Amino acid sequence: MQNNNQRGRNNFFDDDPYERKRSLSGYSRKPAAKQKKSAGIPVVWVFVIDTAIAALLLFIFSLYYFIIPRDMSQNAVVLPGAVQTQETARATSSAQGVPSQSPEAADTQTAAAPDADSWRVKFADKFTDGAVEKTENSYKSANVSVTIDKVQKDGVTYFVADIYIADIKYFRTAFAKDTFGSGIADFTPDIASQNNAVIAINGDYCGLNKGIVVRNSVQYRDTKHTSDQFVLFNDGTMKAYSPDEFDYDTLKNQGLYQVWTFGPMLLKDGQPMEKFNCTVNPKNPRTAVGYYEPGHYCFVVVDGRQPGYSDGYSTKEMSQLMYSLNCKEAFNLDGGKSSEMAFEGALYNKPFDGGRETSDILYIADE
Amino acid sequence: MIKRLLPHLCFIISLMMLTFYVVDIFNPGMDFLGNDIFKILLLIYGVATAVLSSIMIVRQRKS
Repeated sequence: MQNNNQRGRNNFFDDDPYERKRSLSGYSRKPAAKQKKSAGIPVVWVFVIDTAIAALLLFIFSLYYFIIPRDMSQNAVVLPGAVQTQETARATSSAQGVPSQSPEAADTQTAAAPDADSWRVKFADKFTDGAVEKTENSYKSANVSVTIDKVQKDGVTYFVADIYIADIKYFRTAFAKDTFGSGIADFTPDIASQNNAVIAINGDYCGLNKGIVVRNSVQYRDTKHTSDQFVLFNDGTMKAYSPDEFDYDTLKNQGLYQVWTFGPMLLKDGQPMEKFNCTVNPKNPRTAVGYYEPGHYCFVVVDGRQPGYSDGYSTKEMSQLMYSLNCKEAFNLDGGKSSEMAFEGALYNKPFDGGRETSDILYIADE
Repeated sequence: MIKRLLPHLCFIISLMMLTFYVVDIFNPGMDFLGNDIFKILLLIYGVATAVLSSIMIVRQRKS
């Protein structure tokens, strides 16, 4: 009887819990040999082994989904009215099964494409006659004008790049290693250098996150998500959408040039916001893109998590900042260690803990 | 054999699902709860729990 009791205590996962009860009371129906066989490892170890198996499976899941490089550009589709850039051509040629543009799409392209000279004329005082003028914090040419201001205020350091472009094709995005996929990442300055970017900021980390991805008029992913979306249209306008407002099936025929899924949107009808579609609202390093008017944009990077240098901004403070910069639309991109700004291929801000690799960037090109 | 494995299967999958749930709270952008793997786990968990529960109920009735 004592032996039976001992076995009952040791073998938590015995076949039959009622048998254990009977065993404890000394009225077991099982032969002694069978009971001896079922006596196993201590119960604590059973839980430890099960937990280890769960951890191993989670690790394999992470490896497959996030760490092992996986090209996901097979289903890339050039959208109607595509703005022709080097990246679009490259994406078109590399993507398998990319359908050729329909005549309707070609018509849309003609209708949606902005007058190439209009921004050049409108912002003529921002551009040079052809020569490239560079300083430590500015770059001016016949096509683009970039001026970066470093602001230190109330224990926070942030960088605002005021950007004018003569044509929408100078506002581009790029993937790490020129490939859209998971587990493919690189530092913002490195991706910027590879693409001859004048200025670049990290994007929405689309290789890791979910949601719609349109880059340089190429749709890489069309799965909807509960995050906010930010759109740059072919005509140079930008607009932020909540998930409820975002009707992708309609919008994709209206000249989408770039679509980012991350957020939250930082301005609503040009006004600062109080509530955000986001769970990470405390002070953090942050990256945002702002819109003034077609051809005029800003890139903003706020350093953070570095007491004495910069604490970072909450989403509410970020919203106030973009409002104070007079932006009409603004959108929060990936932040934390990802928040990086590169100017002329070199890191310009001071990212937390040396920064981190990302899957994509927004950049301004001059060619 | 199945009777011995099912509780372990349920325990392992529940740990994985709880991990996905917690991580999703902190990083909803990665959409762990909408992942295909999560849906498969949910299916396996449902079937395993249903079988295990049935066995337990039948045993309770017998006892």
